[in-house]
Amino acid sequence: MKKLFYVLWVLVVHNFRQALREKNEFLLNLGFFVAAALIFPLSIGPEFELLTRIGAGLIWTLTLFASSLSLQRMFTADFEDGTLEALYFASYPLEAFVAAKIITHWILCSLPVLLLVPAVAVCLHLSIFQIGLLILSLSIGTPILSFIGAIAATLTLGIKSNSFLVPLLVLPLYIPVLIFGVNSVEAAFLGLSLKPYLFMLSGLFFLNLPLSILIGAFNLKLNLKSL
Amino acid sequence: MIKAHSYLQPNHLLTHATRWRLWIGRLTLCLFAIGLYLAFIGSPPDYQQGETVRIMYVHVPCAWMAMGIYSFIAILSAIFLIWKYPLACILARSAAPLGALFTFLSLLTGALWGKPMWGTWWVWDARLTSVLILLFLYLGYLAISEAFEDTQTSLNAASVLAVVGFINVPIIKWSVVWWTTLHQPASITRIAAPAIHISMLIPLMAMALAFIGYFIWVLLLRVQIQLISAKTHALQLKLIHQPFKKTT
Repeated sequence: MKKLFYVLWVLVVHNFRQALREKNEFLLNLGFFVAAALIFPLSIGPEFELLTRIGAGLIWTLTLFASSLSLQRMFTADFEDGTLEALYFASYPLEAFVAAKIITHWILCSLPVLLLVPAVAVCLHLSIFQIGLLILSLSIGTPILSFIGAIAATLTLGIKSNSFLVPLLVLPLYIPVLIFGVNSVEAAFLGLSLKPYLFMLSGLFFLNLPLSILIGAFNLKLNLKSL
Repeated sequence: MIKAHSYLQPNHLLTHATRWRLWIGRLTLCLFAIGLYLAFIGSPPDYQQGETVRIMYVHVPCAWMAMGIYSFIAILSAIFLIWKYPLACILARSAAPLGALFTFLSLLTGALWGKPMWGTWWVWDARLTSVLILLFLYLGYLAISEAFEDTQTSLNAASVLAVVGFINVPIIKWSVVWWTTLHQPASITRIAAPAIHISMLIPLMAMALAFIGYFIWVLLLRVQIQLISAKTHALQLKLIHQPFKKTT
């Protein structure tokens, strides 16, 4: 068990080093999120009520897209330079590799966005209560996006031009997360109980956590065998 | 005596498929004739919906087929992934375009019915949205099953996607119960007696059977084409790799 955590830690450090070498990757997500959130009020009009009404859904949508932007590159570098192959033939647990990738992807692509959400939400005239709920639902929801993203990214690894396939595969699977995430904020805004939505969201979290790691590792083996 | 499982071998299927296809095709045409007659002429107009209820005789079987074919694909894909049974994957891949077609048709007929009845082509209702997601899942499955250079990897990847996407089917089925939005709940698959009059149930069932017949008919044809082209390919490879022989 201790050894497994050590492997996980080593892999996470490796992923971080790799990501920091190409900084623009996660800065792209952040830039996209901020730019899109600030351009929206310009296009639909700056009315207070309108922005308060749609703000939560807007931030959820943009977070979702920001998280999916870098999915295609989640595994490609390690696949192309042979790291994955080496790990596979050294009979390392690929599950640990997938888990490490998911952790890194969440920390690099979703956490910075999550930290910026309060600032953007204030610009969209959301109340403090709404912002709190938004952060709560996003912090349960964004890991699920990384889980599902890992499944799609590992699945399309061996395809030369996978840039359009990943969004096509990922969006249908993202929709339940989006619905429960946005509805929890909406329900509280309308004075209803937000518990069922948060429970469903947590349910999705604990369903996707093991499935994404197992299916991701299975997909990696599939891709490595076809080399 | 031929054992049942021998029919599951590709070669056996290939020798019998043409004969089966002929009979299933005839049966399907008969069922379509009966179903269409009953749906358009032989059944009464609805007391609320009027003549537009006749769209339902196409819409409902289409929606059933859309979900049924996806379940079919998902189950066969799971069989393929677990037992590496090649015919399961060929069947699943051949069924996918039909499933996508039925999903599209159910959305289209639903929109045509929705305009006079609900006053709008489209609403973001739970069932409509989840069927739209189903269409995207079909498209994703089709796209990924062609995407890899290596056919075997494509089929493996597509099978994984089909199994993962299966989570959507129960969501569609119970979406009208979980979220009480515009689309009406089921009126036939209830524990109590169906909430539909017998004069409408019979044409609906005839159409549903005709659609199933059509599905099996075209599926057999597609599988046959797949198997024959695989065989041709294998023979061509054999011919290329054969040592050169002089023919007199």
